[in-house]
Amino acid sequence: MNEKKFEIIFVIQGKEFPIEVNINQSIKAGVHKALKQAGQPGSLEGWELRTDNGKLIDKNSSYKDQDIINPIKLFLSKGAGRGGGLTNT
Amino acid sequence: MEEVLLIPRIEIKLPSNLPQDQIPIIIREIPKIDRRRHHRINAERLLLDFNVSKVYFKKVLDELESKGKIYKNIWKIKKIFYPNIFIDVLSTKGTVLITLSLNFRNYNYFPPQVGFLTPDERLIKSLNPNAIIPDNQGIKHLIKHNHGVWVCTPGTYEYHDFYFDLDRWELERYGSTCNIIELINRIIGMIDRTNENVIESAF
Repeated sequence: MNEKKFEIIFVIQGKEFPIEVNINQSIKAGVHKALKQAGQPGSLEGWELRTDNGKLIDKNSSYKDQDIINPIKLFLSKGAGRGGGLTNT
Repeated sequence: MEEVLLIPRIEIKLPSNLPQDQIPIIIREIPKIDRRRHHRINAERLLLDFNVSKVYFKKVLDELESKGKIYKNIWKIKKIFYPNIFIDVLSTKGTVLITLSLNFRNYNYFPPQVGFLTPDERLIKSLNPNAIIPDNQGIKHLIKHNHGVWVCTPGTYEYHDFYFDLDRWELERYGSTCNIIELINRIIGMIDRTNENVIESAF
């Protein structure tokens, strides 16, 4: 069965990394490739993937599961990481 | 529940001759700044070599100007006046929600100091808790403080001042975590941009 293929542009620190993906593929595979191209290979832990309206994307799901079925830009950045607190904002 | 401080607060008096345009908006016109634990970074009292910080400031500007356009639907540069850069944070509808104030005084010997301003540039006193996105462990990194909202994440003055003895700025200031584009996006990722009411109150 042919699976639909399209291009996702991963944006990492202001640079674009286009990666061809297929609709049923796990998103994290594309993230991994993009990070490797960006010179940041290794664990995906701590990296957050968002659409330009800020929606957090589950990297463990497929593009289809996340309703990503056409070319789109996705933004990768490190999560807040250390620090923070449970106080009110 | 009242906050219990195991470590006493200290007070830092600002020198009277400190040029006003060098002072981060988050602490401007506040005569005494209280810091917890220590005043090892203590940048409020220090103005280091302007020429050095201007070199690094220029590098930051170059990076923002070359790479920032790609985020035009999320944030954009509003104003630049050394050592400050104001960044407008856009809602998903394109309106300006808040303005990030980044102060690079003494950069990069010290990290940038981050403040939150209303679109008309008043200091935000508190943010709407419903518009703040916690991390995956339920921890919020935008924390209300006496002088506005602090960003508690690596790469900011407040974080590295507080965790001076645990997480040193000078050990990671050239790393990707503290990259300026990364920092801006990380902070904005903590804000629900679909919520048009991010500001709870302002000074």
